[in-house]
Amino acid sequence: MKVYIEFLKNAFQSNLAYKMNVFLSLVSSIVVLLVQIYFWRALFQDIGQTQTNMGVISFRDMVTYTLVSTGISIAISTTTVFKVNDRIRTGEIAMDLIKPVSLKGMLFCDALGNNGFRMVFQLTPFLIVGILMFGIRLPSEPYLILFVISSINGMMIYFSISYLIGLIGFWFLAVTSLSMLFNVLINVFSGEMVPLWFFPDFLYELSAFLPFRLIYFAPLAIFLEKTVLADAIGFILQQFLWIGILAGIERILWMRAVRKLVIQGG
Amino acid sequence: MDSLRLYGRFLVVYMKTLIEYRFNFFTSQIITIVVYLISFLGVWIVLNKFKIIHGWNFYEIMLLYNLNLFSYGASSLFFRGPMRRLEYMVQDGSFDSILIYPMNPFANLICRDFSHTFMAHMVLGVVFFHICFENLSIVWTWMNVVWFGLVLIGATLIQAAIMVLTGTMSFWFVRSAAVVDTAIYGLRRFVNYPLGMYDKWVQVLLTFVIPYGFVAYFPAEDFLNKSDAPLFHGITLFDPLFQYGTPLVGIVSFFLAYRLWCVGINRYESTGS
Repeated sequence: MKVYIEFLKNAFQSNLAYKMNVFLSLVSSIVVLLVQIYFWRALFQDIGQTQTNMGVISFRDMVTYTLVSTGISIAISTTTVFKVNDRIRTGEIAMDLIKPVSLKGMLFCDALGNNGFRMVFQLTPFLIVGILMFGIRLPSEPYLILFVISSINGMMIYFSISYLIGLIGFWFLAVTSLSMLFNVLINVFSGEMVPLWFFPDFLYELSAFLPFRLIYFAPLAIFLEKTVLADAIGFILQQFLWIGILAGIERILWMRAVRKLVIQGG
Repeated sequence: MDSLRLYGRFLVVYMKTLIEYRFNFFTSQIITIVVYLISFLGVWIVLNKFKIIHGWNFYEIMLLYNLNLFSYGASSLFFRGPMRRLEYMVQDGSFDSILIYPMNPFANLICRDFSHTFMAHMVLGVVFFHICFENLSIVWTWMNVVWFGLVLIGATLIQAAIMVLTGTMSFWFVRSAAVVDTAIYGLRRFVNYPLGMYDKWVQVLLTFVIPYGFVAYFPAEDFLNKSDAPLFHGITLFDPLFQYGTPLVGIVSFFLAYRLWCVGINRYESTGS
């Protein structure tokens, strides 16, 4: 356990060396936030609010949605795909296999360290600026608690999928394209940019079969109280289900990958 | 001229390596096409719900989107890979090796990488243009066709200039180029929608500082006979002539980016590691 905490601390501290990065990332996330808000403002300018299958949505809802969504993306995004893939390409993975720590655990702590750093130095100032400029409507207590739980679960799902895609690098060289695919699927189907309540019915139903909406949309819908409590708990149960499914797939892939690696090395 | 001949040789060699990995070549192209179809689906979802954005309908937005996509793909074929690689080369000092070749370092760097995955952008771009033109009433005179070609070249040069600019940042800020890159590409997404819907400062930023507006918005306004040029205290902020500015802005911005590269390379001191 202590080893893993060291990985976490290490990842956190290595970010401190690049202070300029923190500043640039902060500025860039604020710019992206503003432009997204202008986008929704232009759409809502004439209509004021719109009826959807999840109730009436107003421009104010969209401001909070965008603010929290950008916040989640700062807190959860990782470069795990490339970290796994680099290890496979350079052969460093062989060294990881003989270490008495699990690769997944190590990378998870690395991600936690990096994300923790971003939460302190990027997310916090981002939220302060965002809330001062636009204000935010906090949900009632039960929703707030469910929001926190579903965000943490969302991060777990995001990490698991990233790690899985990295592992595919054992068989398929062009992981960069795969990671592009993963990013765009998240971008569209998670509701990161466009909430699922604006989706036409067939796409809304399609997205229910995918894990992506559990990363962004579930916590966001809970935060905005657009779901009844029972549905919110339903979202969280689905998240646990997907975390389980992804862990299962990851075990199978990992076993096969290791076997394949041994054959190559022999 | 020599550089061009070398680049030709390099392309041949590069294509040969691709044939070695045919499976990866085709799958990555197909994945890229799927990626952009899904990303366009995102645009469609919004328009399906709201029908019109700032007075622009679906096919008009598609033209904006596609001008951006096509020019991005065209410039990425040559510049994206090398400029992303530059950051790592400066970090680990391998950029030194480029300086000792009897060849312009810029040309040398470009010759080292050809981002073939972006061919998919071009294919998809042609299909999208076709769909747009079928559904928009643009009169295709010879003049218009030539002008459209010039707009595409200008837009490609603008995208290239921005790639060179972000790459060149590596000479000043080690490990920051990727961040600058994300910041600018975050902005690129907003070029898919009419510039007029944003606040004044965003319009100024995307016109005069990072001239993304000339990639899609201004030329599209011309082709679609639109003039929703935003007003600023009652005065048009952007001259109607801006609609014809793309080729010129392309050349100027690429030249400026190249000049900055020259400044950067003079400043380069090997990390020595």
